[in-house]
Amino acid sequence: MGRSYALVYLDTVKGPSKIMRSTLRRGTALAILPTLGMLVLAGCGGDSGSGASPSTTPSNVPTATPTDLPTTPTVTPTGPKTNTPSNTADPSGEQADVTINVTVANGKVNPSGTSIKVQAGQTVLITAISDEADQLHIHGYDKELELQPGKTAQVKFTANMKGTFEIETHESGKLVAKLVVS
Amino acid sequence: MTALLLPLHGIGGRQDLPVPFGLAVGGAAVAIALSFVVLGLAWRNPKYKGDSSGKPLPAAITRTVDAGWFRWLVRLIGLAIFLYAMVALLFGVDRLTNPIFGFIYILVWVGLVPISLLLGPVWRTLNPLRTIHLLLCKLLRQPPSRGVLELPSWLGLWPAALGIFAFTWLELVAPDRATLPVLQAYLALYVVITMFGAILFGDKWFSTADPFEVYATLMARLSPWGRRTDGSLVLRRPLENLDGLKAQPGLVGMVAALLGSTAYDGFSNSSAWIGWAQNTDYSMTLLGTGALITFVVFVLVTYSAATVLAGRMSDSSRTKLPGLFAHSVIPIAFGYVVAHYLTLLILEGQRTLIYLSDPLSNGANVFGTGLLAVNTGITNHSTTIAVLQVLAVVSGHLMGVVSAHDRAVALFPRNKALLGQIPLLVVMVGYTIGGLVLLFST
Repeated sequence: MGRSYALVYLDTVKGPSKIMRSTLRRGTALAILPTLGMLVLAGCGGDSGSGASPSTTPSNVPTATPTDLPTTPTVTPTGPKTNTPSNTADPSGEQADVTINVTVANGKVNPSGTSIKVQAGQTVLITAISDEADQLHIHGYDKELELQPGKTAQVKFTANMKGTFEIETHESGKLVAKLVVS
Repeated sequence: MTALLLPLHGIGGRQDLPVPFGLAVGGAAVAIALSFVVLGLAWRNPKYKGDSSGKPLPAAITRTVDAGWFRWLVRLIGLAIFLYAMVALLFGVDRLTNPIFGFIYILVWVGLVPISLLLGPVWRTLNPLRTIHLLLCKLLRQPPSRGVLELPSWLGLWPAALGIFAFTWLELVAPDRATLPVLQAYLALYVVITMFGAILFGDKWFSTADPFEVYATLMARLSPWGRRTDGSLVLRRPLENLDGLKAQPGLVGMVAALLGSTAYDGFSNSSAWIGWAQNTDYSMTLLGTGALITFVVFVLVTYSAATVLAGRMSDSSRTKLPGLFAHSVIPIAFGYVVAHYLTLLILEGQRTLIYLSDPLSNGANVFGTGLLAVNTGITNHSTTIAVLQVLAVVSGHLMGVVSAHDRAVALFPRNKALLGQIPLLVVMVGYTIGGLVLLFST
């Protein structure tokens, strides 16, 4: 059933103003709380994405190789980020246990449908670059990356839920990778 | 503010971890070993007596269940839930916080299995379209069984099998399947076809063509509740209940559609398939449709061939055999369903119950569940989940083999009964290993 909900129209979603109007009209605290919750949830993804500086030129796209953390699980998610060799691939200097570089070009995604293993509790950094406007969505964790042509976008989160989670582009509806958190 | 535009992807956002290799292999080994134990050591005379068996329930329970007020209570509950969901379908917003998506794809489609298992054939009475038809008939002072035309007897369950295929195509293949217009179109078609058929052929149409009702009725055969031939409500062993299922045209089609589509669901989630399919020049819809048809036809052909071959090897009538053994595939399909949808039902079922409090996405909290959060505790028990998945597939297999064995010793000449079981046994082992491979590889 996983893929069944993957292809969701963003275009058909009703505008925010309409929702806010009806929410305010009701005016109850009960009504605002879920809206706030959604803002918070959706906001996590968007903020870190827009904050990333495009330090690489579009032509110099980082090769998309999902770098798994090597065998030693000494890096605890809460502890200080001791340097691991795989972390250096990231252009903006952000550090994470697992780094995934995504490229979207000519309607093809890279990686395409690969499984990426992550230990529960590790931090995951996803860096994405696309040649056209799109969204990258990490299902289950509900992280959303706005992709603008030629701009690098990033999101970082802790994999604290076990399972298989799809990373997918919205506009083109392609499966980039599966995050296998165990 | 743009954050509000983002849909919250809950449903189907998470899949189970692949089952560990050792567990999958162990499960397969146990399934094969059990098959031969059943074949070699089990009883030689038919044991199950189907609908004539069972221990009667206390008279008070039978009286209550059969009482008119109780029937109407259940019917009105079904109708009320349906009408509530229709509000979300017709007037809700087109985003995943609309509970209708989870309602149809999770609570109805997946939920009807545990409901039927726990309560028996209750869907017939809950079926809102049946109730609407009944009310219309009452209004027109017509008996609900009367139609304009007679249903041809060869039709059997074929319309429902086609309906299962149509729904699984919508759920697993259709583009934009989690958008409101698509779901509205599907439900409009479903309601029109079902109601129109009921007017034409009378209420027999529901038990022949309503895919949800027919599916639920089949699954209710795995419950401990049944009705004996003398009319009393009885408690009986699930496999005995299953034995009472009558062979009818289209039963094989139903079973093939259920098993094939569930297998396709697992397959279509595999990285190998997606990685290949999304980079070809063909549309995913086209490829998915082809693959879904292939899976269903594969089950239909392998199963039918095995039973026909069994007939040849045991000198029995061949044309009737596929229908007479079809009940034994139901537990296998059930095992697949549990393995694929258990965690989905638990996680997304919760989410749907939360969303149901706010059918129009305007902040309402009708049932007071609107502010609850999904308890994702089970996701941390990945080993238990994997064990349950393998156990479900292997138990389904075992129940299937036992049912088929009992039917074989009833149908085949005594000296050929063992030999005659081999083709179907081989096919069943194939389905089970296939199911475990899908769990392991996705």
